[in-house]
Amino acid sequence: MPKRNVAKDLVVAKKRNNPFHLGVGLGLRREHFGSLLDLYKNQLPPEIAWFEVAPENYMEIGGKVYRDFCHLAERIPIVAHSVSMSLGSLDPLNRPFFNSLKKFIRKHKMPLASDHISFSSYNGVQFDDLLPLPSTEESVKYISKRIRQVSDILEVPFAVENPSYYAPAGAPDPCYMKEEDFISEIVKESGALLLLDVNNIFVNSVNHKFDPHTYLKKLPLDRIAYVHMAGHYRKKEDFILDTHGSEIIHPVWKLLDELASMTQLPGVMIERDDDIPPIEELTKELRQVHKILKKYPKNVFQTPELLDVVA
Amino acid sequence: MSLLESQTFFYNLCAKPETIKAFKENPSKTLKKYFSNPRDREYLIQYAPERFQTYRNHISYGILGGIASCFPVLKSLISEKEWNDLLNNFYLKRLTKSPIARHVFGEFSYYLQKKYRGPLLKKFPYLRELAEYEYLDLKLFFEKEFSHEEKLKGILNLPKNPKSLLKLKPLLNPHLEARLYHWPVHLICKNYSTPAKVKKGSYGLVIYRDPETLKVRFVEANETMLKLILFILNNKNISELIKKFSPDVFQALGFLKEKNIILGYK
Repeated sequence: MPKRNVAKDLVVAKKRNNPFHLGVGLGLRREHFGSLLDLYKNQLPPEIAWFEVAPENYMEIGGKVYRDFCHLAERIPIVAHSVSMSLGSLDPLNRPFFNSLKKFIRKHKMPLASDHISFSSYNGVQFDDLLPLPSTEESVKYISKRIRQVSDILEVPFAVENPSYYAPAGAPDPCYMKEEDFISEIVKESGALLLLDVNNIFVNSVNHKFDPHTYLKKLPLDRIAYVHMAGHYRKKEDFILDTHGSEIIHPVWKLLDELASMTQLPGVMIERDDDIPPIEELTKELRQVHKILKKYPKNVFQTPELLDVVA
Repeated sequence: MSLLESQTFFYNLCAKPETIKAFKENPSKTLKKYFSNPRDREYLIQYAPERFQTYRNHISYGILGGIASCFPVLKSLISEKEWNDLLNNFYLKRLTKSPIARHVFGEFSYYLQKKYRGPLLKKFPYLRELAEYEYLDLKLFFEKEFSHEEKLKGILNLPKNPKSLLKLKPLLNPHLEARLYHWPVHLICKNYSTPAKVKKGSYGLVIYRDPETLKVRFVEANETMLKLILFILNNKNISELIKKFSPDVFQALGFLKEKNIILGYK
């Protein structure tokens, strides 16, 4: 597959008043390397236009995994989605890590980087999870400043993701009683783009009892860089775990449909981190994304071949 | 500062089992310890402690699951309880500073080599060496290429002219670890793990990444072979190697070349 001309796409996207023009993508997992390299012989299934990777998994390594990663990265647009920047942490920014990340992003010509509105380190101890921040003005100011610093270091457009959370980190300030206000304010204050995770909205709406449709309407939709879609595990009637380990359920698809009707989406991708099925199985969900987007003229950014596939 | 209070609370919940235990037993008292503002305490107490515990569970399952997959032989030998105790102890002492998750595997191996003093050492006297051996496999598999590696391309095979040959230096595979273990760690498995079966002795191993397949391999090596590798590592030429090891060294060099442990000569 010839490498896509990302620069040309960006020019097109700019004309559309959007910084990105990604299309429909998939989270790249090592489990898929074999089929991408052998079965598809370097051709992507037509449903996939780009990949998202966690750069931490491929930074500072060599050997077979990195060789295969480079082979794919030379042919397919890849964006970086981090999990350990610890944007909301009170620890100083880990400069060597960010410098290494910057090199990695540059080397593989990634047009966008992102991480979550959360923290994952404390006094130098790093946790493999996204811990919540209190919805306060203090948090907004603090994380926004850090996002600007990170964005300056990385020198690529930067997006922040609305995380799922299971318990709050403190009482919200009266102006941020609603999560969507907190997220919106961080996007505004930091100048970052929004990586909108639709599944996280649904998960939080169940876990914290709010209306996801009202939530969607209050977000700065014009700042969306792209959208995450994923499955989850319902542990109890009122408690969902954000596992990314199963199929996307109908109410989450409905939310995507609603979102697509409201705004032009620069990209939508499927995240699958657990119980990872073959790529063919995930393409069924990718087709569903195409089908939803196709309903709204402003969201038809697929190539003509793709339109054939989803017709 | 609520951000500091909140992060201190979550750190303790995730890192210290006694915090989550105390929180479950007496939520009000625990929250009072961490949050000065009653508004925070009143807000948080509406949530069941199990919700907070989810974070600790995620973190420990993530780490423990990762370690189990990277130390499969070690895991297969140890009972479920022993394994959990071992990892919980490690987890308590683990204070990683790396945002890169896979670094935890090196930390676990280091913990077993340097810090662990528990009962498993008596039951499995080879525990430390086995853990290191399993870690080296992973380390070499992911090891970054060295900056000088590019220069190794186009290296020579042995020339026929004996004079020029003597000045040549063998080039060692840069992704290599040589060890002289007290236990046959490369043979240990569930069916070959009891002290009656696993005999203490002297077991040389060269573990390395094959430059062609990029897979990690090992070969058994006697002490002389390990010394030869050490000499090659110290940049000795063939003339010096002959002086040290006799002309038979050519046979050993041929073997190492065939195995891709030395990549050529310069």
